Amino acid sequence: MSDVLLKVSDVSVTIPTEQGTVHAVDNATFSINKHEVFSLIGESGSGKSILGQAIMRLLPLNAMFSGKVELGGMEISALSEKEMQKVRGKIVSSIAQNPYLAMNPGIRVGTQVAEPMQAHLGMSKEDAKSRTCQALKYFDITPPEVREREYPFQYSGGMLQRAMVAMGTAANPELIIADEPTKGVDVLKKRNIAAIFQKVASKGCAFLLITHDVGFARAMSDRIAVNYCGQIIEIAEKEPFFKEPLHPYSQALLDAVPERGMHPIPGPSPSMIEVPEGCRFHPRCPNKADRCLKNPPVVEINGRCVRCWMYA
Amino acid sequence: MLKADNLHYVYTSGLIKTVKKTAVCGVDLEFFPGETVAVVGESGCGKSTLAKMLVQQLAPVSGEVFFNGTKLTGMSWKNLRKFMGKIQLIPQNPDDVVDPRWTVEKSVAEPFVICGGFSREEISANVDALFAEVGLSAEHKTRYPHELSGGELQRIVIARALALKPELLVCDEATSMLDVSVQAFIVTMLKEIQIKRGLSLVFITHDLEAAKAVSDRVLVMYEGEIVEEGTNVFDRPLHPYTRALLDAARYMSLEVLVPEEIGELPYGFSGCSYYRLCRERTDACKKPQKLQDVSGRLVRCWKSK
Repeated sequence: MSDVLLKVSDVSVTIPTEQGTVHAVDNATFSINKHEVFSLIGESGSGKSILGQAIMRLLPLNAMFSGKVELGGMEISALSEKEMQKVRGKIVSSIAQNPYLAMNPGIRVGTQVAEPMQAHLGMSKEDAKSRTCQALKYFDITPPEVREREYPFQYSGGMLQRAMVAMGTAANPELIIADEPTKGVDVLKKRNIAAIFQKVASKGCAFLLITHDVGFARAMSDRIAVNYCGQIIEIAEKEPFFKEPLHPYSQALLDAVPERGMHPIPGPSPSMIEVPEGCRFHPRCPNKADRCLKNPPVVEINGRCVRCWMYA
Repeated sequence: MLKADNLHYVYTSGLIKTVKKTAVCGVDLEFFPGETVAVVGESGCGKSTLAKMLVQQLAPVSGEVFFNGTKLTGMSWKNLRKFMGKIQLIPQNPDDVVDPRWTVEKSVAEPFVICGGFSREEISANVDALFAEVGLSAEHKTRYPHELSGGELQRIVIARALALKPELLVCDEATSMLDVSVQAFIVTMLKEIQIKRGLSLVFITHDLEAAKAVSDRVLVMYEGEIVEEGTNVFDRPLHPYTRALLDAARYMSLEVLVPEEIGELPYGFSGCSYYRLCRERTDACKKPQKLQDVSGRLVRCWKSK
């Protein structure tokens, strides 16, 4: 396939801690096509964010990385830090959870939005400034000439989030990684974020949405991957996934959503240090059998991938 | 059971140039025994301020709160203490409640110590019963808050709130920080406890689907006012704001709403609080709006009739 934009193969991340080694990401393999919105859903602590950081090469210093990340045919996991800096912002860009923490409080918003354009597109200061004003206007930050000279604390939360999207998209990246863009945000603001993302996606930008908000993922994405305890257990197109999730964990996760009656998943969440043997979901799975103590195979059915013995 | 009459709250900030922000503006409400009420609205609409006034953490600027006919506002701390156990608040962030340097057992036992009149054996037996009620095992008792997960810690807070046999639990965004499965667990547990103990529950939330799933009655708040109240609000919303909220929750009509563009309201505007964003506004909306009874539903919009 020629339209594959990001290809992640066998990526594993382990983080040594005092309590033991945390297996944050285990053999993650997936690919994102051009112009596609791909969601990675799962509970907090299942290693979703670490996977996003691994793609951006922004992992904590003590994390051990193995595997391969290819972006448009280039292996970015083998680049040096200096070369990687050219990739960040230009080809991949990330949008963080909290805009007040992600922006520098002491630098004017306009300067921060212009930074990727000057660094990656080689624009002069004046050109970058006029492009910044256009970008701010595009995201309804008006009047842009006044707003670009203001500091982050003068912005409201929603406005700063839009400014951050403007900064993330300034150098026309091909892929945006958004980590929990809707955590703790009320419905109206969530709708606005969805609207902005759709605006950007319509320009042909691919998205990797990392979220635990099933409703948001459903509204936004083309394909969905489910993450449980560091492993991707199911990848499917949106429509068939929400109609009939295959993996028992996906089924349980969807049943926990308020629209489907809020049925809690039985059993405690697994520890990331002493992961269960074999299938990681088997201690909580309603369909468990003896074979589940062995590592389940990744099965492909009608273009969907499931990591479960039931379909082997 | 709990009744609030014309509650107002105004936050003031600044010493020389004082800035006033009205958070809650003329709220009347009533909760009945055994019912589950959801208070919904966007962030900043005054939901949490209302909750704090109901549990007497904040004194309202004007207005009164009655509990079973006794007026709580303006009561001395000494007299109020008798009622404090009956109305309990579960806040959004469990870290606000438990002392990080105490074992969780000590935190759960604290209400008994403060209340007085319990022997050491009684306290220990009560704490054991509470731990069992929220589904935590005895080995959790000796842990510290940082050793527990978010869901477990929230259960500690619930156990603590249940200690003095409350009649009303006010959950202020108690589950919005948690994952869907943990959220489902906590809500199911609260409903079970409610049936067992005959409690009244007030869920303050911005998650409309969750509100719909748990509650008997819904109050919709906007800019410190109740704009709609009734039993089947989500099936047939009458106020334009409720409709906008529901559309947003279903990701319909995806366009960015920018209140700045619509312009500031003239100074001293006393009309409908939703005037600025309402798409169906007319000149008649510039008059003050009152809550009207529309077939058993209270709606603050003249058009709903």
